[in-house]
Amino acid sequence: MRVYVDPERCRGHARCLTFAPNAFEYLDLEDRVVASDGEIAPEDEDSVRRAEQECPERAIRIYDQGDVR
Amino acid sequence: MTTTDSHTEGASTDLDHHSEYFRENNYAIYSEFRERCPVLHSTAWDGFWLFLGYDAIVDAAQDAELFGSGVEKAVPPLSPDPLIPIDIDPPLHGAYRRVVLPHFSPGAAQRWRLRIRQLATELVDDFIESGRADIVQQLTTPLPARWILQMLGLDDSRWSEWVHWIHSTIHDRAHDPERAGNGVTNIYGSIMAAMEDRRANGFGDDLISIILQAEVEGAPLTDEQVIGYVFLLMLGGMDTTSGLTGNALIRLDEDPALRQQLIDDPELLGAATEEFLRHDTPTQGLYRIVKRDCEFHGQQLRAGDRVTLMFASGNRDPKVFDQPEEINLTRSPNRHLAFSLGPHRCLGSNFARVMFQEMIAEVLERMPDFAIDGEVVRFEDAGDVYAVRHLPIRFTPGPRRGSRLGS
Repeated sequence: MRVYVDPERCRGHARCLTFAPNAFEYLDLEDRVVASDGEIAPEDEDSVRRAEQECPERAIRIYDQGDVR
Repeated sequence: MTTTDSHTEGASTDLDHHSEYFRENNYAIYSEFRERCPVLHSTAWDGFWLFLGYDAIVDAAQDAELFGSGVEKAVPPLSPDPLIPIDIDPPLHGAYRRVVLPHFSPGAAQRWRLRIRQLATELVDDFIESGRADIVQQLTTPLPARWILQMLGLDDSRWSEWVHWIHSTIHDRAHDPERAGNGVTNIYGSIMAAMEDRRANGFGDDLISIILQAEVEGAPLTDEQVIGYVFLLMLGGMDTTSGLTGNALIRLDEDPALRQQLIDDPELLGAATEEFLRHDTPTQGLYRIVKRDCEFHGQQLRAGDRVTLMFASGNRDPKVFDQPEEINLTRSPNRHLAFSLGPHRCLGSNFARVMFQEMIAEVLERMPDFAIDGEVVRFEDAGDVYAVRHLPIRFTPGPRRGSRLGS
């Protein structure tokens, strides 16, 4: 699984950090979050899916293996 | 209140969100109109729109090109000069916001968590032996006020004076504009004095010093802009977090099972924070101004029309939230609108969450049997911020705790 945060949509609510702190990183000077490392470890997949569901701006994109980017 | 259907504008009412009727019936009004008119026109205050549906609010909040934030948006006007950055549109908005951004980050809020809890402990110490308190006046109002005054490098022992002016600005401006104006004048004068003090005696690491030294597009902020910035930080800091906490404490008094759930499992406080933000939203709505004629969610809007995005209504929209009137600590997802969306997302949201959690945890730990004992007094005007002014409680007295931080 890979994860991507749309920089045009993310407004730095930082909700994703609550659910999947390993997968996301908040940029202090830019008021937005980036994916720490696009590739998600299998044990973090559920928490990343939850983070995607909870994002108020719907800024998180998940790509499962086999998806065309 | 009357409702008429005009063939050109759809449903229209004379609903005044600053009225006593609104304060007493806000959630009933939202559910009465939301489905039929997610975008509702009111003839009150020379005409404005109320956006009540979740989708309409989201679409407007995320589209700052169509829904601008100029100072003329407020119904009725609030401040003579723009508050910064909330009354500024992108792209300049981002440059102003960046001035203080690192000080409001998720990490910054976590670094303050222990200090905030210590402040809660000290405030509770002042009344814990008596078995009675006005918990809003003695905990939920002073804590956020003293925090923002400390951030600004101002004397936080004078919190009640600042809070009085800020409350007047928000809650008196619709029915007593002269009194609200006095509040604004006092705030302007006191901020100006703090600016002069720093210019004469040197800058520190406080937010007023940081704003005074900042440059946007190669130039420092004007005095009016510095005042508008500091004023906004106080407005955000002093009213809303107390509103959320007071509203939640009323809910915990009404619902012993919910209270017991949180006492038994403090880990639930994170999810509870989001659910209280959704269900008991303090900032009912914020304003926008329509930038060009357009059709929007079935209504014809015109350039210059004023709009209030009613986040509290969106947060109870049954199209998005199953059984929205119920508090459900396992609700997922919970994409509530309490902090707005888009570029104007609440700058203080990280601190609001931390302060709310530490105050609720302190209450549940030290006054687990608290009960409302007396009249709950809300601020007269709930059109902007739905909040409690007085919340008298009684509880089994306990010992003072003093410092948690150690020596």
